[in-house]
Amino acid sequence: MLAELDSMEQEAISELATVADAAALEAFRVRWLGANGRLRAAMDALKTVPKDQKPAVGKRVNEVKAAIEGVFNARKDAFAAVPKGPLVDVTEPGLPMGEGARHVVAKTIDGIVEVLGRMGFSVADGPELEDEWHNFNALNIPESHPARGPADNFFLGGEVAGKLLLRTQTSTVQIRAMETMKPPLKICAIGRVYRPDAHDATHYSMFHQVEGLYIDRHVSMVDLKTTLVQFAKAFFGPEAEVRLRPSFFPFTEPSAELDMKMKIIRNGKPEWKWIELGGCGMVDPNVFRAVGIDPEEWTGFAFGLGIERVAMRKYGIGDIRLLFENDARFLRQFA
Amino acid sequence: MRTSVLWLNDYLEPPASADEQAAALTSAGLPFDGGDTAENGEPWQEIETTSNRGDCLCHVGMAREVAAVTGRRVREPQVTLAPSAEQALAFVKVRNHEHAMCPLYTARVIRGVKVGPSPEWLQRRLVAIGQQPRNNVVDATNFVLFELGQPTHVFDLATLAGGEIHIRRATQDEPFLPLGADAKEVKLCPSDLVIADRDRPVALAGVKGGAMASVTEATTDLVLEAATFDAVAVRNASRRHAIASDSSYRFERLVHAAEVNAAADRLAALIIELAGGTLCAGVVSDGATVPAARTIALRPSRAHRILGFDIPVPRMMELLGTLGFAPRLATHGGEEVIETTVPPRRTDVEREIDLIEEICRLNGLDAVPVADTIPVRLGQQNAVERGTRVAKDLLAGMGFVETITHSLVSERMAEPFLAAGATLLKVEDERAGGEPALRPSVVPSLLRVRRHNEDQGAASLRVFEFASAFHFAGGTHVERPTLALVADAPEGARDGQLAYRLLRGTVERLMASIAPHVAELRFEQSDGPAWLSPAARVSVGGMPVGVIGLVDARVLKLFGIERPTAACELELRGLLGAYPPDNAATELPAFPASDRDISAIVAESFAYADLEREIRALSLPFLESITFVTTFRGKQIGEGKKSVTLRLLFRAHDRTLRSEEADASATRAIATLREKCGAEIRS
Repeated sequence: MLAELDSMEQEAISELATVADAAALEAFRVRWLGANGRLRAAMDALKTVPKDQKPAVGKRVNEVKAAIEGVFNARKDAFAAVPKGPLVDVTEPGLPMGEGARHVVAKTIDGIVEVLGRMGFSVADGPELEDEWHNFNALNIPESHPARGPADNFFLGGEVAGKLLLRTQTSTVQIRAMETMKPPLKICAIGRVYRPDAHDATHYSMFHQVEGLYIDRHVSMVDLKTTLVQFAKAFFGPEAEVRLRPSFFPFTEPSAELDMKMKIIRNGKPEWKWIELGGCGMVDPNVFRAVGIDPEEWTGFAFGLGIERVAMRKYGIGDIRLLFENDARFLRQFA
Repeated sequence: MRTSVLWLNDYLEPPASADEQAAALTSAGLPFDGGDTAENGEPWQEIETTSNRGDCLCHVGMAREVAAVTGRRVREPQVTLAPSAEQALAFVKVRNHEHAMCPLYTARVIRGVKVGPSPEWLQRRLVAIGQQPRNNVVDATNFVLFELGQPTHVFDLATLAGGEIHIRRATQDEPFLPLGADAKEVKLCPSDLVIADRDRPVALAGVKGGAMASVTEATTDLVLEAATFDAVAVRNASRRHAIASDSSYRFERLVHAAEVNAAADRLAALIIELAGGTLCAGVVSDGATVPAARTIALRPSRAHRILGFDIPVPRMMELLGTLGFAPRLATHGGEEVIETTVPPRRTDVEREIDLIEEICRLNGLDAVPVADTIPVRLGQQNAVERGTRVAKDLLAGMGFVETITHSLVSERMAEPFLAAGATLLKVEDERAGGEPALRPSVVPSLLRVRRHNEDQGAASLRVFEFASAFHFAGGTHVERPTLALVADAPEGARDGQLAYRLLRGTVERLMASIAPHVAELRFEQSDGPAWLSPAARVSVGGMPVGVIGLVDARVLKLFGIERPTAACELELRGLLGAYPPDNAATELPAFPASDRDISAIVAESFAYADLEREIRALSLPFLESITFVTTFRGKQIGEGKKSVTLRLLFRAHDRTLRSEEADASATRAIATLREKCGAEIRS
């Protein structure tokens, strides 16, 4: 009898394991736990067991019953977990929750400002409509400099002719910051700049720059390079690298072109590549003098990056005009 | 500049491969920008130069840089001349009337040349850099230009009227025919500097020679011009007459007077080698005094401060020496300094900082070490920037697409958005492509975006942009940072009211985020601006912040938009400047409220705000709020009428309000609506 009970227990539990749905579980219940089930039969059979074995067999019957019921109840709970509420087709798509999107260029700006902010740069701004002092003279770009010609600038006509132009660089904000704030100074400026280029896949007569300026008593080329390296790694990832190449800008000396090794998308695939992103250098003493800062007491560095270039390479955008066409389908890709 | 790899090696000891040249020049700040082989099979490389390095616009200049970076030696061209007894002055007289525009003018005379083709070696050099060989005399001037960077010019002595050369300003409308097969006569002006003989201009100074006095097969006696001209004067003349040449390109980047004679001697020697003839004795010249070579002192301590790391003094001196500087040690005020003369061709090196740059550049920027950390002093958060970012994210979350559109638009697009008394600001440039106006509002750009997206199949759209708008008024220019929003009703609806409420709700939600502490956000019907109809002025705490409404039908037509479209323009800088707002928590009510809905049928002439105002005027006890529920129009209501449903919320702060108390107030509200607005109450 005891051996029978053992095999009964095994049989019931392995049968329970194969039960796949509520209907099969109910059939199991009837067959094993019901009024005419096998457990009932086993209990009835207890009457025929010799008296001296009764306590042991009775105990065993109860154990087997408890074991089977335990597993049965667990299965029952498992089936019950499947909600039985109203019919829901979980394969139907979700409701559209707003079609909004931030512009990919603005998002890139936010990302850059966020990293620069962590590095201690405060955001400064200035007008897009500038005078020649802030756009040229104070930046050590003399009257005779070729960059001041009409081919490179949107000068305004009419009543303000000869006075104003759309700024060609955000370096103007450097000057405005230095005119109004005393060093030490650590600022970044982001905004639109304008150059009369014919529009094609890589040129647009309006684009965005981010500019960094750091002035203190002991700012050096080492600080400049360190800042750029840390920025690159924070913004593009730990594998990013920085390369400087000597160059010339009127407002910095020494000056350098700034390349960063960044992850770009080319032909739809990511790869790490050196990309020319902008320029940098130590603030030219003439710029300090123009704003009344003593270049013997203070030194500083400045750098500028083209935002569209970062965004286009980062996301694999092949034509700059797509950024300003503002097709919602395009912009939502970066939402 | 296009360089020939073989030509560059004429001056390098030992020679460098194309790759070595490219790498050395790039690291010196003259980046390699591609290369190929010329039609004669010789390799060339395009090397970019920055605008301050006019001295590198030639092979010897480039060779100096390669030598300095790679430790090679430069072999400068050697010149020997054997002038005859005849004096140049006997054939040509030079009178320089404009020393400021022409600091130095020199003329040499060579007699008895035979003009013919150049030898093969010279033709090879020119073809390699894409120049067309012409004859031995012209090719010699081109060769010297690309060898030493000095533009020169050769006149046929026989054609110079009176044997005179005048450096003078042109007279108004003075005609001049430049050299060249398809050149057209130009009319000069007094801002132009010309080289003239007794009677007429023979060259536009520094820009282009004239057809009249040019060298031909028949020429035997030559006048060699070598001079330097003011960079700005040359640039202006070149722009004015749309004539650019290899000469003007170089003069615009400064050719130093001290370099002129060496190049002229080199040209004379080359012409005699190629075309025979003899050089007359003497140089006929007129100009200002050539300034002496500059001497600059460099404090090693200053270099260390700028660079942030040490370059030993002997290394600094060695680097300067490789570029033709003559550094020596001296003591200034007890400090050891490096004193050096500057080669005159290096017009870009004027100050101590320029020497530091030379050292930094030649030592290599890869050698600048990178530190582990940066010092950080936490600056102020920029409230406007931070608040703007929050606003943008919020708007995107509410289904608005952020756009970035060009600040320049067409006058036709701009004009409807101009306020009375204001005029458009416009750029001069014709390259603005018919869009010269600085937009007086960002809304027209958003309407254009709306139209573009409609053309692409977008049924409805909400867009916003933070950008500046511009105009001229009251004698000054105005740049206004604005937030512009444009929205139409959700897909399927063609209801202007819904579009307006959607946009107004957006503004209300936005203000709740950026200015919740400012109690009153108001929208008050207004007569303008003209591009909105109807329009409402938006104010926050009594301060006007912008306008909102439906875009006027005529304006919509201009943009080809048919759906009712709501637009809003806000100036938020004042509010954003206080971001984040000082929020104070308010305790939530302890007792439940009772609400009563009232549906009042009124004439269309009553606005929702009229009904609300009448109820508020009663100062009903326990009234907590009045909210708008809906407006219904239909046959049941009748023509010219609408049914407006308002919800009144009543609450006592210290107990649960009894139903009769709310009913009593609601009854008073109903009575007043009947009386003041002629309302019929639906139940």
